[in-house]
Amino acid sequence: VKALRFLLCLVATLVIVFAGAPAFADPVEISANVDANEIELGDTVTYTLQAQSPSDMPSDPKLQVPGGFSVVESGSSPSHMMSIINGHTTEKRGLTSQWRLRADRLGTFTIGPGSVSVGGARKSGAAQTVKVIAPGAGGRRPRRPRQQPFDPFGNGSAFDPFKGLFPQDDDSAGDPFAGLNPDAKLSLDAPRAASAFLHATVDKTRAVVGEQVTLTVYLYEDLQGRHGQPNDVHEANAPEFLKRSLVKDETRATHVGNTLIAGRPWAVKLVRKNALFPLKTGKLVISPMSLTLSQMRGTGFRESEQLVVDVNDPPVAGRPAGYQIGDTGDFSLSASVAPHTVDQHAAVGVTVELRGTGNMPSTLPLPEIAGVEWLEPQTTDDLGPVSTERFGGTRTFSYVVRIQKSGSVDLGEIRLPFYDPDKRAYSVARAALGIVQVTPGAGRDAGAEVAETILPGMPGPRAVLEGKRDVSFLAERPVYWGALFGSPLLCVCAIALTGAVRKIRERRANAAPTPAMTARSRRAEAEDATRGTDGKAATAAIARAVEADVLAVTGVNVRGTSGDERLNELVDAGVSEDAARAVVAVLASCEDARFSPSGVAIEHAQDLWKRAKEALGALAESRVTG
Amino acid sequence: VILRVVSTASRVRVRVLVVALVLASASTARADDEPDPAETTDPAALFKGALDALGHERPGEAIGKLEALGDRGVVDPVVSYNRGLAYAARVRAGSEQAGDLGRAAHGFEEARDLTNDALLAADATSALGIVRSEIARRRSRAGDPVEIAHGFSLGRSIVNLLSENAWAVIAGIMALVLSASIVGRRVVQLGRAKVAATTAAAVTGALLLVASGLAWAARDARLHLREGIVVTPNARLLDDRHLARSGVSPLAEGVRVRIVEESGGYSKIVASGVEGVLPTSAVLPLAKR
Repeated sequence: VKALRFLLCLVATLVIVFAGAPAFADPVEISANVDANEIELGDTVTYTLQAQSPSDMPSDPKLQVPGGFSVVESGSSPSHMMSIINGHTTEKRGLTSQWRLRADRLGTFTIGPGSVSVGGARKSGAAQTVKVIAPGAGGRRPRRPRQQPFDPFGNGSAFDPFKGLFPQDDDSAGDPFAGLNPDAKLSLDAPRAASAFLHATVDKTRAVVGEQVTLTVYLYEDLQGRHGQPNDVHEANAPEFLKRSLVKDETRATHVGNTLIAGRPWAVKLVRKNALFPLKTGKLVISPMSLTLSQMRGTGFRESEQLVVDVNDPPVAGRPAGYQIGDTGDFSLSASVAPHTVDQHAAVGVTVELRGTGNMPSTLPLPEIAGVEWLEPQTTDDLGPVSTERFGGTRTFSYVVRIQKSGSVDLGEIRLPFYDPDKRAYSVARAALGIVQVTPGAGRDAGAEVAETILPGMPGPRAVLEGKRDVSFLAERPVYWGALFGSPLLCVCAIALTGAVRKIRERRANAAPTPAMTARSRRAEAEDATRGTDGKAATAAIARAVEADVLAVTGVNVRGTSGDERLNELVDAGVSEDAARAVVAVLASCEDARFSPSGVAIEHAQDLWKRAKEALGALAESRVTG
Repeated sequence: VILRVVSTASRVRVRVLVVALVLASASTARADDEPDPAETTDPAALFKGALDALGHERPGEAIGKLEALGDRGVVDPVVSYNRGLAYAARVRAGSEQAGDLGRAAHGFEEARDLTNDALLAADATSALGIVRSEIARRRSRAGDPVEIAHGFSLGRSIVNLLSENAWAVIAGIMALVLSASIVGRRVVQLGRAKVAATTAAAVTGALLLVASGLAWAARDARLHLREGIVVTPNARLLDDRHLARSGVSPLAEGVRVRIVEESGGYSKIVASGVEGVLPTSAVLPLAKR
């Protein structure tokens, strides 16, 4: 023990001697320190340089600022100290300079050394090592109180006995992702913008009316880049939702983790977390949240995604009677009544506490008891985030209930049907109010108040449903409309049509036959006549047929003309002479037979008709060739 | 006293018995309070429960069950009528909530529109008159105009004189008579008969056009006309920017209006020829068969 004491005394003596040695060697005293050796990205560190000289005032402080740090502010303050001890005067002039630096990059950096000019020479303080870590990567170490200026064992002193005991990092030696601990849940496929961006999510895209939808908005910041300060914040607008905050302080962003996106480290901060309760059905839109990042190159405007939630009504199946759309969550009811004994026409207080999570209804369905009048309640809310994910709390309804009748009055039960979205089922929260004993009273006053009858003479209810009756409508059938306007139109059309047909027939009947028609008619008559027995009549018919046919073919009426005259007319009309002669011969034979006193045999007439047809054929042929 | 006189063993047994009785009575009471499970699935049970609640002066419960029937898609004039009565009963019981009179009027109007039963229509009309009288009385006390039922336009009134099918049948008869007149005019030879046929054709032709037009209008109303009842006391008509229209007095509760369109939580309506906008919650549409 004696040897150890001796050794300690020796070490202390040596330390005192050697620590005082520079003071003797150099009258300028200079020291430097930082207020923290480990800071988070974006935080600031203060480098302090203090210099004292017995003769000249230190001036012109300078600091070597490493890359990855930027000077936020700096300043210097001079000092002058004079002391007289035992008649001996000592004078010291000093300068204290400070630089506040902001860390812009991860890594380990050496700040300084800082230096001042004293008596024409530059004197430097010690350089300081500062490690910049990712936000939230480790417990933030407390900042050191400012070191005493002339502590001989202070950090940076040449006589620091612990110097070298701990490993010292260098700028290039540090791992830039050290302590990052990336969270895969926060990762994205790609950054939405450079340096920093907003990212909004909802916990569900399908919900029922009144069901909580949690909207979360994150701010991603690139740990290796510069990012400005957010300002000009515009909230995400959701007019078709009831919006409640799930964070207590929305003025500051909370660091929730780090992540890697496309190989780069990003810090993630929670800027908003809201419980949204849909007020209606449909595809409801949550507009983007936006902000502007100052000190950014180019535009610093950042906007989150626009989100859509598909909202439906809760299922009809199993819905209890009295359920109000929007009463969605998980609720319980409790009630207290005081006093339990009152006079008639007096009032009792009923306090109903609705507790739970979700979309708290603003009114409660009250029991309806004859002679019990519920006045408007006073509502007190103690609502807010009950966990990081749920909004809820307690809503207290304080009623004044006036009781107009006497005896044991059962106040009934308050029932609140609600839909629990977690269980996907309906449930009913209940609170029994109990019985109040009401002693009969003399009446409220002596006035002659006559109760007014409201809605007198109402008919009674019906006990049997009318049921569905299939009704068909005539007007839905196209046939009906067709028949409706078709029948008169059809009559008109039919009448018009018959009239038209009749007119056509009359016109046809009245019209003169054409030569061709006459010729065909006469031919038919001649055919008929030759099939008969009257040769004379047949011969006459043949003559008429030949005349009509000649008229139809040549336009020459040979009736009433003599032999040569006929021949000439036919030749003039373009008929070959042979054909004309044959026709004229047939006609002459016909005339001969008609005027024959012995009559005409039918066979002769038939033979004549045969000749006539040949002649007419030749006539027609000659007309064609001619 | 009993516990004091019996032995310790008996005391224990009695305590157990008492506890069991208490538990049994509690569970029985719970079972009585529970709603009939059938009511959550069977509309008939729900209707029966509503009728029972209405009969025992529990209008709130009756309203809940009748509204639940509506949620299940049950459209029946008796349900609408009883629902109107339930809302009216809640007003009578002194537990009135804002809009109850309007909802009662809605139930009666709907029942009147839906029913084929003349007696039910008469009862609904009578009840509607009583409800509207109460609304008018309250408005009168408040110094508001008491006109509630604005009535239909002349055209609607004429269309409503007969049912759609009645108009259609009349038009059909006119078409037949017109056809016969046209044919008769063509067929008959006698001068007087011809004049009679011509006159009949002209008259029935005109009547055919009128009756078919009314049948078409009735069909159009059935398919496209949407009407509703104002269920908010003194609903202020808004303009297209959703600002209160000046110079238009607030609509009374229970007024029947035509709904032109609905969008974004607002309904464009026409009430007695005045067009305006109301929040959708202020107008309850009337159901159709």
